[in-house]
Amino acid sequence: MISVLSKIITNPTLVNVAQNTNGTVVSKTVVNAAGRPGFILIDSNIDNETRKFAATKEFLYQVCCLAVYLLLIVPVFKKGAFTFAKKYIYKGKEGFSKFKSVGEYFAYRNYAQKSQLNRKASLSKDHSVFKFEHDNLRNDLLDNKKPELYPHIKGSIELGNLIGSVLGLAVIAPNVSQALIHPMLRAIGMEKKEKTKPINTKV
Amino acid sequence: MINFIKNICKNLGNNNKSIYPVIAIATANGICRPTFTMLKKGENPESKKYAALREGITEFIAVPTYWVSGVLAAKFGEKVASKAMDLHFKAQEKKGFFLANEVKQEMKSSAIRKGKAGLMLIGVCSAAGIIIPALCSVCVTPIMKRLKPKTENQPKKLDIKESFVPNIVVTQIKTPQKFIDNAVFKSNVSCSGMRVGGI
Repeated sequence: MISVLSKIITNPTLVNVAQNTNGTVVSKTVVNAAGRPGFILIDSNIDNETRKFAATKEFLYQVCCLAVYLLLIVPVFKKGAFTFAKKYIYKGKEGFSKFKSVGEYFAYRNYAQKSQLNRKASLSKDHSVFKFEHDNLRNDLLDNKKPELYPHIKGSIELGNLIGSVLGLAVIAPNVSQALIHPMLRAIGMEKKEKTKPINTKV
Repeated sequence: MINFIKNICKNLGNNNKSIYPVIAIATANGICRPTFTMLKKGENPESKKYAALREGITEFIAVPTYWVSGVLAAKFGEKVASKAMDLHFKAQEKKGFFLANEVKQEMKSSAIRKGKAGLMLIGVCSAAGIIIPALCSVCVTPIMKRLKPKTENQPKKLDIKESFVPNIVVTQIKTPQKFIDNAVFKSNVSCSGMRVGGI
């Protein structure tokens, strides 16, 4: 029993998601989208129609938050943080000059976290033969048992993601969802458009 | 300042915990959502205050809940991973595979680190999906009731004794009397703000 539980909680995918700001925020928002409407639906103090309306509204709000986060925040802040840190904080030093983009850094990091045997096997595959053939990165990966992980690069990306998450979910998403939720509720028939009375212009 | 940011980056890179983003978001939500609600135009100020207070309280509950559930889950994860590794080593020894203490220590510390991170994420997610909505549905309404100010327009109860009421019927009294001199009557007038009997 305990070994099964341990296998689940030490699962590499789960650990990667847990140590990644984006992964944590996305999983939290998905859980919120399921949990909050669920709790509204089981609240017996409210009448049925209000319950349905509030639950749908909450669900749409969380979906909007998730969409804003994935479409706007993740791409902008992930790349932006790397570029900003490279130019202004580390000024191209301390390993930043070795990586051209965020994608390249994370690909390198994925290899570096593997065992040396697995790493050698992966790097000798056809599509990876010419990977990291600059700045001594390939030799680092092949020869060292524990290659340098450049934690400050990951940290700067995580800091950018953290700032983006706060900005996205606390400032941008509420305003965007405010504009989107009511038309969406009207589209699914949960809300009726208020009819404005025609103005009598005749005197 | 740059060194401070570099330290943060290094720490986040080495050990990024799932409670950091959720606590940061909840704190920002606790400040921004009530502010946005109060800034809305064309809504009743009282209902705006009520909604803003409700949102503030919800996030005020969320911040410590995320922290406590994350930390507790991580501690539990540490114990589970440590015990599972001990059982694994014992099983290996029964099969005749003996590992050096250094290797054991390294494997154990790696498993503990992973177990803490994994279960912390599960703890944070269960706080977001179950614990916080449940706590809010239990706590927010009573707190709101306590914090709600008593409205001044609501008339206060008059403390008129039942036996006193028949004496007020003054239609039978022929000679006019100065009712204003009656101390009880005076106090009632000042409390209720109503004019009784045309005074």
